[in-house]
Amino acid sequence: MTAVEYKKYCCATCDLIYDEELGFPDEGIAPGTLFADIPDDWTCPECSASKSDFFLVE
Amino acid sequence: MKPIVVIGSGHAGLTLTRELRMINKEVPIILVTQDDGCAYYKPNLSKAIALGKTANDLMMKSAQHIEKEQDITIKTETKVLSIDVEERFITVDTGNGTERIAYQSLVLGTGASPIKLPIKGNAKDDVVSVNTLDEYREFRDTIENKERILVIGAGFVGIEFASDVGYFGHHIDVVDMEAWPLRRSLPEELGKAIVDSFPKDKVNFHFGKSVVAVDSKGQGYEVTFASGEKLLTDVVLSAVGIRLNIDLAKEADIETNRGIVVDNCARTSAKHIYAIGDCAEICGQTLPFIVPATAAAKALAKTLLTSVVTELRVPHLAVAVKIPTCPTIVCPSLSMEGEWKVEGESPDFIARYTNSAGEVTGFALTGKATTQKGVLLKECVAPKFG
Repeated sequence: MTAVEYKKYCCATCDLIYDEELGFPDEGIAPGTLFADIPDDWTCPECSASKSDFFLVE
Repeated sequence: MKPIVVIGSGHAGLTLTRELRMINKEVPIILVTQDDGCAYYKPNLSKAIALGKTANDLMMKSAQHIEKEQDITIKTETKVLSIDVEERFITVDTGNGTERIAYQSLVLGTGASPIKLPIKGNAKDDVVSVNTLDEYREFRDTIENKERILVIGAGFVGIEFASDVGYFGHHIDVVDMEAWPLRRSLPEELGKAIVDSFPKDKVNFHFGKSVVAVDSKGQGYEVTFASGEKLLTDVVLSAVGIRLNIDLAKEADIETNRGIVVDNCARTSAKHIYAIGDCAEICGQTLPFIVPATAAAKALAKTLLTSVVTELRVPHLAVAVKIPTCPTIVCPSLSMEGEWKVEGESPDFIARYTNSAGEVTGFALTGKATTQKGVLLKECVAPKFG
């Protein structure tokens, strides 16, 4: 069994990090939610940038 | 090929260059800025002290990094002197003399500057504003060994600063001509909830008051109100609103009003010249917030590089006001015809700004009610332009 490799995504506008492992429970996104599984109309909780404005943190 | 030239390296300008480059890899892009061109999130300036962040921590990317990443040219510390609308070039002062830059399209993202109140007194020039990363750096150093800070203005920025610096135990005085904070964005009950959430021994509010003079007194200042009352403090911070930077456009005979007048496709009165972000007045509305600037930059990138002239569509913006003692979210109404309808109990209020047709055009939430943001956004009718 391999552990899920969680990734982090960064908002291009405000630098907020979405960490898949932590999710955004306050925004209704459970810990462990993959970025790809977040609805496309979701917006950055800090600055309201769109989902497509987040980039993968290498 | 003549470049697309963008003036201003704020959020609007840098979002535009990024979006332009995503659409087209070839077009030359030149960004001209009087700053050092680094990217930072301006709303953080009034909330970063409590987070213990230095100016360097707030810097997201340097100009060199952005140049490489976006494959654009950034001319930093460069002031634009004039625009030649007919011949399509701008004249800039690089610090080492003047230079002309020709453009195919010119985009003004000149932003806004803090309003300076007509204050008298021998220390009036010591009143500070924090609107740039450099000013934040200075302010942070200034307040380090000070006890008392007086904040003029209890709008978005003023109330966030009061909350932010209060975190470190400074004694704060907040002065505002209105009767409660965020007077233009929320009704009295919510304003009172915000005021009540501040520790009374640390933060004093002076509503219905204005500052007329600041004079040196000992190590600090004596501040005089219009009422004649006097108050001692160590630092005076002014956060009374912004004035849009329209002078460059005005001198080029581009139509201006409060802002640079544009239609819902960011077009100014001059051909090939556009304006986005805080400096723009879109169909009579100014919207000095992050969300509309992002939307305008994205729409304009499409207009400039595809054959589709793209209209601006601004989603409702729910602006979180960073007051940890009383979480607050404001969704400003674009229409001023309406009235507040408030429900809930202090400090957990839902306030809807409702017009005569019963439509919700804006709202404000405090306390636990801030969790209802998503529900309220769906209730709101979409803002219209033009």
